[in-house]
Amino acid sequence: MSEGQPAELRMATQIARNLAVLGEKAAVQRTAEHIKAYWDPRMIARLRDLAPVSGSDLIAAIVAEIPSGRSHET
Amino acid sequence: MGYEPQIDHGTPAVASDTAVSLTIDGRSITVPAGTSVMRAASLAGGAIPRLCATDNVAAYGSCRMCLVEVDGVRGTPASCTTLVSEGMVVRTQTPRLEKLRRGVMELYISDHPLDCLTCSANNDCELQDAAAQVGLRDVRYGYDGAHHLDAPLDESNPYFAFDAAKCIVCSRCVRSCDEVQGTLALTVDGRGFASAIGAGQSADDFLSSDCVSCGACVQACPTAALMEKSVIEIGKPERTVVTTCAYCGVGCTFRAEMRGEQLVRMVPWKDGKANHGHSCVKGRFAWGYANHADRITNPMIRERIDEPWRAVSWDEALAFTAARLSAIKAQYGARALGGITSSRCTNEEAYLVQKLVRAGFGSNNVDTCARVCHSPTGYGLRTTFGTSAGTQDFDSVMDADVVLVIGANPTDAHPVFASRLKQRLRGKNGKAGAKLIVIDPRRIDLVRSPHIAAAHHLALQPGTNVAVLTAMAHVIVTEGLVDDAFVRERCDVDAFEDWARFVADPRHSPEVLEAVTRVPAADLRAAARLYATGGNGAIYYGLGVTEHSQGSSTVMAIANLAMATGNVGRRGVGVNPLRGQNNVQGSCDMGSFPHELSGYRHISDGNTRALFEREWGVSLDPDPGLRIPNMLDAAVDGSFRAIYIQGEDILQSDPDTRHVAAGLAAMDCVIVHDLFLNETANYAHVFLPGSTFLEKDGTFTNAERRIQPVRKVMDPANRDGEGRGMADWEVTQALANAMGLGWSYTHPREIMDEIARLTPSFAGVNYARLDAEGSLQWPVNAEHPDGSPIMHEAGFVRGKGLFVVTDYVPTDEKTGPRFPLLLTTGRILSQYNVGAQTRRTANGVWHKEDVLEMHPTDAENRGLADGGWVRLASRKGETTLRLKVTDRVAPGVVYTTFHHPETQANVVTTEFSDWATNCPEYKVTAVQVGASNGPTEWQRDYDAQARTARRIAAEPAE
Repeated sequence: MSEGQPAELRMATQIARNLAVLGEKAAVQRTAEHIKAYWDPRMIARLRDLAPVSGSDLIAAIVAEIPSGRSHET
Repeated sequence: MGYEPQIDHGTPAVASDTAVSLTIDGRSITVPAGTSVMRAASLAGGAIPRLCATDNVAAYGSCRMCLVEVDGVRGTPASCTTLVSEGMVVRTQTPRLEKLRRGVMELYISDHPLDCLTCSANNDCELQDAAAQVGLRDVRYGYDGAHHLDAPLDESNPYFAFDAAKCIVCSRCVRSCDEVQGTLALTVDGRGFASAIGAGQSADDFLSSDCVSCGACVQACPTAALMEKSVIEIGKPERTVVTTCAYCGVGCTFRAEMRGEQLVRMVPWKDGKANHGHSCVKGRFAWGYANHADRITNPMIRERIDEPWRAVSWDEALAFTAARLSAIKAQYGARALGGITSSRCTNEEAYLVQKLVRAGFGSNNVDTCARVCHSPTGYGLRTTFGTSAGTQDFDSVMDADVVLVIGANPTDAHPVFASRLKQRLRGKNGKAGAKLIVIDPRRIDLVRSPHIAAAHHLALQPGTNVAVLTAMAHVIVTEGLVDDAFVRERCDVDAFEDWARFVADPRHSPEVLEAVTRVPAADLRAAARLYATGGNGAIYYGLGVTEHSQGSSTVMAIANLAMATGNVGRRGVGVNPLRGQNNVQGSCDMGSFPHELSGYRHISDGNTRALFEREWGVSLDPDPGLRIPNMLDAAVDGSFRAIYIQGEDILQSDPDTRHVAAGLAAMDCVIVHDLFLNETANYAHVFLPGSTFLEKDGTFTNAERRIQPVRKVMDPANRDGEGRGMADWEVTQALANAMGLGWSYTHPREIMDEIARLTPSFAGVNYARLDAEGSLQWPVNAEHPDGSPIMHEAGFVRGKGLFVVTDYVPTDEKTGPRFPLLLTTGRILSQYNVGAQTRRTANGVWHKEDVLEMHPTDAENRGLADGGWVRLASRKGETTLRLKVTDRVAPGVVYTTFHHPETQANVVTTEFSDWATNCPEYKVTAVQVGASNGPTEWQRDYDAQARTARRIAAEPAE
């Protein structure tokens, strides 16, 4: 998490690190849910765009878990 | 009618289940056991003459004016120190009493000036009243002997004067400073006739003493000896209106005492449930900003921010703004627009701003200053307990046995609550004082001050809150101190077991974590044992908890500790966030966060959205919008282009000033709605003049969820050429209507009715009830018809309390060779937040600039001297300020405040933030400090830009 990293990558990585204690699978799932619940769609879109170029498996896994399209009804 | 001081029954109220009946002057009255005869007489409608008694402090029995006769009792006991008993027969006026009182009064007056007509207390003086009551007609002693009529006048305090010539040495001021405020700055010097009130040491005056200028002594003084300078200048008030203070989250209520539309003085309201008749220097005295020359009272616009401002009419300003917003929306879409609600404005105003953004702009890009202070409280307490608010009322602290203060500095930031806390820590009437644990990198005043000493001060390394709390949890779990019955009955047991396993791991022991936290393991173990086993344990915390990269984790770790020890759901315990600004709680409640509507309901919830869509006649975006830091990022990226900011100065208060400035500069339309041309306004295209809390009706909600009325005492000063002044809610409505929304609120009560219709936790709130009851603590609804002083009493709001495993993840902000010190920031008593209000009052006498606190060892290593200019640099920027060498901070830690734009402490703070909420990590920045000759290049550039941006065209537009 160096300075100059795009904010969305930094923030997603930070959320996952704070949830890592749950185990990898749950951490990825919960990170994705957190992002869906609190992020503006353009930030999610940017994270999706950044995922392939970030070279991070973690980010790729998180992005894959975020449902696409309009918000789900809860 | 006209002016009446609030009734004073002479001695404090007593709570007792036993009622006692007695007869006073032939009238029967029943009062609680333990009540004084003086108070009973007052409650019966009488008024026994008195001088040394007032109901804010304990009875003292020194003035000998309040003597009474009691059947079967010898002599003439003082009614203030004599308690009622069953069947007692009291006479307050007999020939013997008359003679005694007149004699006493004669002695008092023989050493008191007879200048009543020109005295500032004329017709509002208890000495004058007492003289009238006893029928004093003559002073036989004359004025030739020794006297104090030439005693010096002390005008050192900017807000009140001490005229010793008018002092009767009743000691009410000394006792208020002790019992009400807890500062003990005052004393009675000398004995007998030589007795005199002294502030501090013999060489001190009021200003140089320890006096914190709370004004309790001024309020207690029966004569003109201690008098507000505003009363000396203006005269006696003619009417009073009860309203709520607009400073911190304690939410003190005051009687605004008025002459016409002129505020004469603010006097704390004794019936106020948050403050019980007490106040601090800000609320009581620092209201002069309301009429400060810097206040902008005309709307202003400009095409570009390098142009001077142009003063225009409201109509022109609103038309200009609406046209810009509509054009941006047409070109870039609704999500390019957003707004920030104000935690200094009323609930109704915050509600309207978020309504304007969601229903008018069409986006959910609305946020509030809680983003940068207590958003982790919302997240953390909602996750663990089920509701985004503190659990207790302030009075609850009086039943606490152990108080844990973490990341808060109540004597500076929440002074009136701090006074209550000190009362409890000192004990009273034979009840031992509560024990105190302070967890803070800095030795705050509560750690050691007169009659107060913390049992433990854990001076942790900044950024290690979670590690410290996990280590405390480790002790509680591994030493068998968990309240198993509470956990089994009230909490999710599986989650508890996961958590208990996690914290019990040896790597979370205080001994292992000591290397990280720098807290001696033995101290930490002792503190954990005390909290878990010392009786009722109450936790109070502030921004030292939330403003970290693990702010939300820390809030949850606190909640875990409280649940594990059974310290939730009754008086004397709980988890209590001390809120920064007056209406942070309220602005959050009102749906100011981008992901939730009022009452903390997620925007993705279709049923909730439908409720609002029906009421507002629009369809709402189901996705969360941008938070403040995200708005600034998106502005730099070009997808966010317009912002309406009500009562918030993000350029000064938000972290990484350069980034905030870049974001603001990138926008096409920045609308600042404020009292002053604040720092943010340097980048604004529209300035909408705001109204002070004295100029509007509405409600604020304090840190204990208490909704209290704000009442208009004068017309808004923000008149354009046509003489129309508007409260802030009216300005927002006018902007909405300029955009075609067709709102028609005629009074804030109608806005509250709408809030109540749409928000289950506010269902029972309305102005009629608030007027009748003074205040209500939400939730107020069918289940809680009278409101909720204590939450989670029968069970947690979420059902079962949820333990959340909080793993310590060190911040990315690391010290290193370039930046070897950790900077943490905070507040001081006399200034408030960015200082926009307090800097425009006489409070500057206590704190005219931000200073950097540094440990003597660090200063010596750098060759820096106390009082010298130093350069404070981080990887983000640098600034200069003066150094204060002190061992309040540990080696390796430096501390400053952020009250002054000249310092702009946030030019050094970073983009790092809480993982869950984006609350900035203000409390940890790696810095270096070195000698300096003067302002940095940044400060010079900033000053030049600000000067240019604040120009107002000489010729006002028509």
